[in-house]
Amino acid sequence: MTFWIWVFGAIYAGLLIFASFKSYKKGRTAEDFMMAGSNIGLALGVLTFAAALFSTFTFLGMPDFFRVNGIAAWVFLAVSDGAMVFFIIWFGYHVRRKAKKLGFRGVAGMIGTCYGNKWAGYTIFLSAFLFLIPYVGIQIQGIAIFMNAAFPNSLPAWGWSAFIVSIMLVYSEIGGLKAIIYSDAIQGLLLLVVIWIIGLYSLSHFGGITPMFEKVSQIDAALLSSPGPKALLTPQFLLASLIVIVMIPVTQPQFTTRLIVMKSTKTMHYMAVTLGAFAILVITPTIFIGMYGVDKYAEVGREEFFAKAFLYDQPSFVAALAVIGLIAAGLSTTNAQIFALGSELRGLLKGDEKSIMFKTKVGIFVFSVIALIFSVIVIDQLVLLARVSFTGTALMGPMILLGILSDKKISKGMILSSFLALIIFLASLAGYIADEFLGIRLDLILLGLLALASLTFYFSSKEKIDKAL
Amino acid sequence: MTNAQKNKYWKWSCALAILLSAITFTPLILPQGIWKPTLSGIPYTLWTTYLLTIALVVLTWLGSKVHPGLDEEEEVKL
Repeated sequence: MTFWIWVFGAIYAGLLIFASFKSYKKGRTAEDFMMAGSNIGLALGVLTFAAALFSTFTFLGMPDFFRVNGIAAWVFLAVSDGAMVFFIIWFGYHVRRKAKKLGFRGVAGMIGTCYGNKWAGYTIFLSAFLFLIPYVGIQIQGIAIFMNAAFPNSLPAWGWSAFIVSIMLVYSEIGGLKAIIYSDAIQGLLLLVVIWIIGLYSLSHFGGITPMFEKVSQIDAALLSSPGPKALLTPQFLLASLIVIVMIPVTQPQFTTRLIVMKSTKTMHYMAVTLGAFAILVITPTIFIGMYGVDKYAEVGREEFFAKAFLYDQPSFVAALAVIGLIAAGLSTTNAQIFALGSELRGLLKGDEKSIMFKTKVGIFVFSVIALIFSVIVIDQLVLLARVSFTGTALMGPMILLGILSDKKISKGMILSSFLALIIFLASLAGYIADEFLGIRLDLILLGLLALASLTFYFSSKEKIDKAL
Repeated sequence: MTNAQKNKYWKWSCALAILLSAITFTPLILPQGIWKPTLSGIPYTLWTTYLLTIALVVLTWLGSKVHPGLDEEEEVKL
């Protein structure tokens, strides 16, 4: 396997170096660096959005989620993604229209301008920082676990994490967002190829789809329906998941930025449709790998399952492709998230552009180091941590949507309500507040109350805002 | 297609997308603990939600064809 890792690793590194130099432009402006010149076509747009969305979380997390919780995991991600791509054609149009009027220097900066209140931007930035950093941390950790399995006793887990973060920093510093988008494209294609090779191998273990589910029904029939053997995938959990996943393009700045830098609305619409098809293609083989895990590795921990299903059970060149695919997946997603945080910070800074860019790059470095620390200390299931990350940022959804859609001046009460919801959610994560009231999940209650608050603030406002906004 | 027609079809697409999403969480699609009838061996909830996902993507394609703002603006200048 080591030979093949060097071969594929060299090809991948070569492609990255080529992409970063292709993206590097002497005398580039800050907009070129941060926003890739806002001219992304369909193919790159699909692959960059897909790569930012489908990462270690999909590659490793979803097979494990299917293995542990059964087939309703499809509803958790695939149906939610189907709803999200429809939502993109509506939301993408409005956010692009707003960005055209106001200019775009990150979601936090734009919403601060919409509300005429810098605290709106600060609250959004706080939520992105609090919920993206642990998510980035666990992605890096996922790669480190995998690398440890591929090269036991070569480097400690934190060493692999530091290695990944260093590559990410150098790469984004040379090429900016354009380089990240190119690396996303490479990763998107690689992910699709690798996940299908391993998926088909897993399916061939059973001899087809029908025997696969027959075998699983003999092992544990609870895996074949909702809520699954751990009773996690209830309709309420899945509904809340759909809402927070649909909110991803609104509340996770790396996705909003990708909608805005698309060449045109038409290209963005095609991107949404293709992304939906891509989601089905990527998630389908994770069912097969999960069911393979049910049959062969039902009793083992996630690390052993990853190592065996993705490495030891595969021919050496497939295992090597899996290693490189996983590095690529983790690298592009963490890159996208850290860079987006830098972009959000830039939107909140004032002063001359040179000093803002310097502070932004320092910010990107600091965020990377914090994510690295998290990657060493966080222990959780990939998918569930991702779900918390989606929920935490989704709480900003009603405030952002209201800012983008409103033709009236909105009370700062909306900012305060969103901030309060964030604090309550954090308190529930820390165990100070229950995560369910009267049988209803706290995240659903908070999202419902924020939606109600946004309608109340909108209809109670009399003051029309300047048409230019 | 006139703008009025586009508006009408777009609203229908939105309504259908909401309906398809909402129906997923009813006992019709998520019967608790039940996995039959199967389709080619695929458990009930999986094949129905697989079809629902495909339907949502097809609806996205249709929606993109009738979206009222499709030709309104091009590149966002930053």
